[in-house]
Amino acid sequence: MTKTVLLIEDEPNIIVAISFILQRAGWRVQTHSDGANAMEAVARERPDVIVLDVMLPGRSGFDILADIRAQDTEHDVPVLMLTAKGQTKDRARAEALGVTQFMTKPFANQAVLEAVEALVGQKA
Amino acid sequence: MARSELTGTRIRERRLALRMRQADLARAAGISASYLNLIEHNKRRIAGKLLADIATHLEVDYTELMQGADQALLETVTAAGAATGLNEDALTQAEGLIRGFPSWAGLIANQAEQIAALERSVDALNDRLTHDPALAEAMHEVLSTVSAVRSTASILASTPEIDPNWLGRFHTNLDEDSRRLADGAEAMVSYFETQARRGPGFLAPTEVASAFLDSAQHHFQTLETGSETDVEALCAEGPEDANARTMVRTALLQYLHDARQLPMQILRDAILDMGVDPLVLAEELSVPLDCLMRRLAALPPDAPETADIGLLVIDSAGAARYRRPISGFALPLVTAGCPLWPLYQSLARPHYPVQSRLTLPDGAVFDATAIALPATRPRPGTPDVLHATMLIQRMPAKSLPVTRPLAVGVTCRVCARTNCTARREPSLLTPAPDHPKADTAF
Repeated sequence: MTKTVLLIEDEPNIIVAISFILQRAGWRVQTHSDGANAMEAVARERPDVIVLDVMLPGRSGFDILADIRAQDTEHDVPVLMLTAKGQTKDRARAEALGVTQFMTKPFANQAVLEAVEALVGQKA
Repeated sequence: MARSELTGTRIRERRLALRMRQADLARAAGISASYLNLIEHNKRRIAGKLLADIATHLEVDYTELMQGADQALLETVTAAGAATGLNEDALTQAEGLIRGFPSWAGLIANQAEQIAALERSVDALNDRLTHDPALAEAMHEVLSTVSAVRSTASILASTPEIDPNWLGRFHTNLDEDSRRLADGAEAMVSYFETQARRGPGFLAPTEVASAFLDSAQHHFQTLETGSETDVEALCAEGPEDANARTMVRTALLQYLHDARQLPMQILRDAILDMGVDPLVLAEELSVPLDCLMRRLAALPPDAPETADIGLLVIDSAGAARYRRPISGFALPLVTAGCPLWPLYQSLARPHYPVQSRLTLPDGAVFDATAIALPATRPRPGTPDVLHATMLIQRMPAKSLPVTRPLAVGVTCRVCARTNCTARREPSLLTPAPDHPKADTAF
């Protein structure tokens, strides 16, 4: 069965690139660009892995991660946080909120692909 | 005191203590008496093997003659070795290195000092990244664009057979991103060139004073029941820069005055009873709102509310006078903030508090309370001097009406909001073909 990645990212050209990489590897990729109603997308798509940006319009990735971990369903979905905010305090904050993996921009395509594949089935 | 003065004097003192003639010591050391005389009167530098030989003939340890710069050299070289992980045995060889190869030892010491200076510069730049929202956001923009370029280019390079539609899309994206990247890089270069002209590690007095207050986490236990003497004691441990120290003194005297007006224990008891709505607390405790907000910003680091409180005080011209940072809401110290903040609204209506629920472009929500009050006693014919104080709270105040948050930014240059009536300059984050290129510079 095809696995689903939910990509929550607001940079259009990064969305295009990551979608291409993952789709080529056989993933079903759903994208969402608005932080404000990202939780609706999570509930709707029930993804196997979430790739989450931090700086999003409407709501930060940190807040979205906290909500994912606090909800009854989908609370243990693996989350790969992909962000340009790579300072130590940002990483520490993400880890405190329960991120599964933290990766900073700029990233290598292969690294993202390998990370997503490694996260499948890996509960938070 | 210079090293050669001390060393030469010590040699002379030790020789006289041994009742040894200058000529005898010179002969034993293999130098002329006149040259030894110059050394003893600190007119010639001495180090290395000659110093070691003289120490032997004077029956003292080499290090006893080494003072000032030589001792400092030993300490610097030893510290440099320790910093790079040399073990104890190796560290004890530093003295031999200085004795046998004084020039190389000096080189190591100089390089260690240069490394330390560069590390201080890096720390200063790291501090800028944390506290200069313009730089932080510009870095974020550049990194995001680089990510898109790298990812797209990698796809094109590693995918020989690619659908023409995808190919066209990737080419277009690369073109867009390379333009964005060029503009962003140009702006960054302009920023750092400005910094370079100011000198490495340079911080303005305002930044130095703010860094000192940040390091104390804006709480000074000795001032809670202290006096002006305690203020001076803290200043003595404060910044070396005289202007920065003056700013620190002003802030600490205000702290002292506030602590006398509202003791910390009374404030904390009130918080337990009523929460942290500043309007409610000021009313119940009968203290001016600006004093109450400053005291909230001075809560001890271990207080549960501390991490969720920030404070910014400005003068009538909008310049920051005091800032307590809060994570997630960048409060600029050297640039102007968002004109929509209640802080600036309060200046239009002195004495009237302004409260708003704010949402930043990243979606984070904060409550803000501000008030502008005269900083000096009004005098006929003298312009009013106002200070506006704004408290930022991550935790929503329960007494605030549930309203739609006001969409604000940090500062125009790094705010991507469009159609903002308060915008005073173009944003670095928004494509602006109609803007002159200079607008993208810092």
